[in-house]
Amino acid sequence: MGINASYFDITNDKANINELSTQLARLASKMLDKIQILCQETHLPFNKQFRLELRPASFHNPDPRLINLWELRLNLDPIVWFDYYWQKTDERINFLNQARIYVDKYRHFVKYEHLPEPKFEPLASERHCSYQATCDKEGGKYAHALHSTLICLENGSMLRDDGLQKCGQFFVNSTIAMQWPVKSSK
Amino acid sequence: MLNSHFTNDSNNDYGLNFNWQSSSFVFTSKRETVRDLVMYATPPWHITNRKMARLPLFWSTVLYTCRFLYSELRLQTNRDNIEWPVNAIALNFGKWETGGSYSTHAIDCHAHAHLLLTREFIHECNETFFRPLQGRQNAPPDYLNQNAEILERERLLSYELRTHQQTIKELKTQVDDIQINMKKMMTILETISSKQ
Repeated sequence: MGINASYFDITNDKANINELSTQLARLASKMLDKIQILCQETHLPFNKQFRLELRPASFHNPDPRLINLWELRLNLDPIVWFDYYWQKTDERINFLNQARIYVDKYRHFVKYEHLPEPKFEPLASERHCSYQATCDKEGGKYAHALHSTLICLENGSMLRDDGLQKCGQFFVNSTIAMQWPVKSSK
Repeated sequence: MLNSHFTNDSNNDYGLNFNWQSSSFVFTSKRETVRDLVMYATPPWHITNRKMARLPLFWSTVLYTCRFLYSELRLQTNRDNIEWPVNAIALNFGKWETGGSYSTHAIDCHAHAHLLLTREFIHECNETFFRPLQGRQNAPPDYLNQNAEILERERLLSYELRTHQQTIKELKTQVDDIQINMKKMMTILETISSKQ
């Protein structure tokens, strides 16, 4: 595997952020499209759960030329991945060995951390409202628990019919670290 | 203007209620005490991860945020030899996206990206420096481990076992054959020896 355009020099302060972001958006779009194509072609639920991760390439690849370069990875559901190749492959024993190598490698790939007590206590979450069922504060049932005023009341798509059709994502002041308008740099 | 470059972008779907003048991203800590800064589209802007991940605007905000955190950390520590404060940026989709939220049955939840921070950064957080993150030093969930475990439990172990059974079956047949042949040989030997 050589150095190619799929690596991103994001920590370099001379790098052009507009260019990098356009490339990242393009690659992410390709990956999302790939998921749909996989679903259509294989009739396996590749789209039910997956993850996009932008990380230093060195996390997976020790090649010294990749130091400081980042890469975007598409992480698939391991079960679907397995089912796909199991159907496809003629060499099942070989494939099982590969899967075994994968499992053994990633079981303890990220080392467990033993951490000392933190210098500061994490902030406790805010008190919930005691009248959740009947409370008529702004935001109503969507934000009842914490009386949040920053709530998304757009129509969300839900699987269950419990009367909560709104998106309902709400934000609590004590957890907000910062807020950035899309138009300014800070 | 940070993102003026993209204001002419008409190829992408920005979701609902997006406005170049008034929309923003909001960054919060998680309920769990993990070193994860979560970036959301601020309501009333509503967008899904599947759409947000396609926006250059999203990625440029991510990159500017990383740089901002880096320069803030440098000021805070007064050192130049600091680590890049972000270990990874992650977007979950489908069940992996809604798994940690209140409404685990949401099909498309409010877009959010995880900025996984370094221990060094969290260590500097205090009453005045990113207070919502102070003390939230625990490692984020180890998905690699979880995936390995699920794969092993749900598929690999039983398939390996089946393969072993198959091998044992084959061995058994071979051993049976050998035994039959042995018996034949013994009978032949016995006839030969009795003739002598």
